[in-house]
Amino acid sequence: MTTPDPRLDRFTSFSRQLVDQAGTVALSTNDQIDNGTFDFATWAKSMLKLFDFGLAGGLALAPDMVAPCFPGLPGGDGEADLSDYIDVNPDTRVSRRLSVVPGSFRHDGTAFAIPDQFLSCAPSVLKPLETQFRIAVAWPDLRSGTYRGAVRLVPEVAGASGADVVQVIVDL
Amino acid sequence: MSTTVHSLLALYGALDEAVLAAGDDSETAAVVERYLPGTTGTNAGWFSEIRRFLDIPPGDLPPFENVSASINAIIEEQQHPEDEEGSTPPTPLTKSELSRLTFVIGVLSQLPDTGQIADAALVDGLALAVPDPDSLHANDTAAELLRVLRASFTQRDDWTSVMLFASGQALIDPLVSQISLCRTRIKQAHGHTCVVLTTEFTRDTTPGNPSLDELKSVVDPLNWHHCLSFFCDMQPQHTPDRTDGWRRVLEVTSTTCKVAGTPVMKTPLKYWLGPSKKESEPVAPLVAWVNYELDDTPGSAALGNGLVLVDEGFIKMYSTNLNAGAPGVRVVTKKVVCFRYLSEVAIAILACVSGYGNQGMDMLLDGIQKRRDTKNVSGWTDWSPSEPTSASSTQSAPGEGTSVPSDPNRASRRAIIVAVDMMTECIDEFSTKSNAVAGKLATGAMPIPEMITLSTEFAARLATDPWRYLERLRDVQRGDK
Repeated sequence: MTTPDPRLDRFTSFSRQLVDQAGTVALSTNDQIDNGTFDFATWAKSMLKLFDFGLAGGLALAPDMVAPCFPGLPGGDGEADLSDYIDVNPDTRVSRRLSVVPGSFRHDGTAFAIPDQFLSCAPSVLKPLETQFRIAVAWPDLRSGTYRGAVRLVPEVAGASGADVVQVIVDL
Repeated sequence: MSTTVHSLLALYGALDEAVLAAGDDSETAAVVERYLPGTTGTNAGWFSEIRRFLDIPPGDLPPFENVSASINAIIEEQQHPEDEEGSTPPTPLTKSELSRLTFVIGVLSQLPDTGQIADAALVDGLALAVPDPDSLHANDTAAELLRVLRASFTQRDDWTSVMLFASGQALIDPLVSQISLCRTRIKQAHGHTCVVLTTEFTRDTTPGNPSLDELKSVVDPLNWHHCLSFFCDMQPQHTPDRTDGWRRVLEVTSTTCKVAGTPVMKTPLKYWLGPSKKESEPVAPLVAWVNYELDDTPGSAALGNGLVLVDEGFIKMYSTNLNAGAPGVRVVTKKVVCFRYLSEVAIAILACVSGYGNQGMDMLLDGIQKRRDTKNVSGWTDWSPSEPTSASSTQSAPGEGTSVPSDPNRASRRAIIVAVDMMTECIDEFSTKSNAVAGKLATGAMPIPEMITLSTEFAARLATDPWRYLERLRDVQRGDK
């Protein structure tokens, strides 16, 4: 469907994909629980993939237009907590996809970890020569403070050199 | 007897009282809304809330005076009572307090029909913020500053440019002019609607400016009552000491700390100073932080008066020089706070006016100066980073602290399918309607009736969707779908 505002098309299409993928993960997880074959690591990987796909990119797309459809999203005021900008070395040739290392973001001085499904990187992809991103958390039970974590940067070109992992200290 | 914080609050409260007296649709309400957005209309009356809240703990809360009397009280508190035996030494206003005083005088000067507020009183107040308050020309400078505020400070967003101009004209202390306005937002936190206050401030590498080491020497929470007049006392708690390395303190605050027999708010906190000594990975020493939150040590709640539902945040300090002992710092702070019995507007006003959310700036600019003063060497707590223990560094097993779906009931599968279907339908429905509105916007026509209808439908959908979901789910369970 073409619309006068192409952003609406992109957001609508993206939203359907996000809902479908979230539904698939939820159904599969539910089946595993019922069958007694639930595996946390698999679930965490699925959720991570889901949020890498959707959340950070979706927030940038005209969210107000269909916001009523997501009343249950964490961060009821609609605004994520964002860290300061984190600097990394540039890659001059390829884009790099960012993702948090599962279970790595822990409140300094505690064993308290931010559940991975509430974490994202903004932006989720660093284009060539881009060096800055932020950690975003949309979770009303976040304990404000200093967190240590790790972020993986994966080149988006097949055959490029392997992923980098950067340790970060952020305040949320 | 009053204090600066109490009198400042009275000045801000005078704005709310003026709005209530003049009415929702008055010019007064419109003026105040331009400077304190969101505090008029249905949110007016926040000053009464604050007064009732401050009066809850035992004690006699001093009255809040009118504008002229409050300004006089602030001035009197700055004067040294040389002949009074046993008198409390004057507490100079912090740069943040002077900034808040200048701001509120600027707003008061814009109110229509201010026959009750003499210009002389406003000038006297502004004279505290001029570059040389003790000069014979201080009041002349202040009168000119008042003229500039009346002419150019027409709304909140003008503040930065007006302060820049005033500083350039030597009408205001340059450090006061650099203080940012209080930044607040609303956030859902731990089941409550709270206010988030954030600040950021830098001081460059000019010799004489503070260093990271100096900032660390004052930032321990046990020093906060030396730095900010809203903090009456910070009492370390050791019975018991925590096993996870976090330290405990009972924070005692009030708008009238120096006045005996007045109500105080007591809040038990725990805090962590980082980076710790025992770092497994090297962390650059050009950064340090304080994290704090409500103390959950068993028995600690009994120490407080239970008025604070959420109080957590951080103070992050960076050196902008090559070593921590050299001048040049950047400070970022965040506080999430929620008080019982107070609306978000009232919390925001109380936190901003009292300086509760300005800990970084006031400690940076005034605490360091106080510690430098050779008369104030005792009573300060030096920086001592927290040490992780086995309790604080235990790796949590996978799944701890994370939400895990655990409903074994087969009906949950149907619930998930219904939820997905309904969300998809909602997206389709509103994208179609939004498309129609967007189409008209693209042609240049302003479809106001359609936007009103769409917004109304959004609101109705938001309110009724949970019930619609339950109804669909019941239909599925009954097999009537």
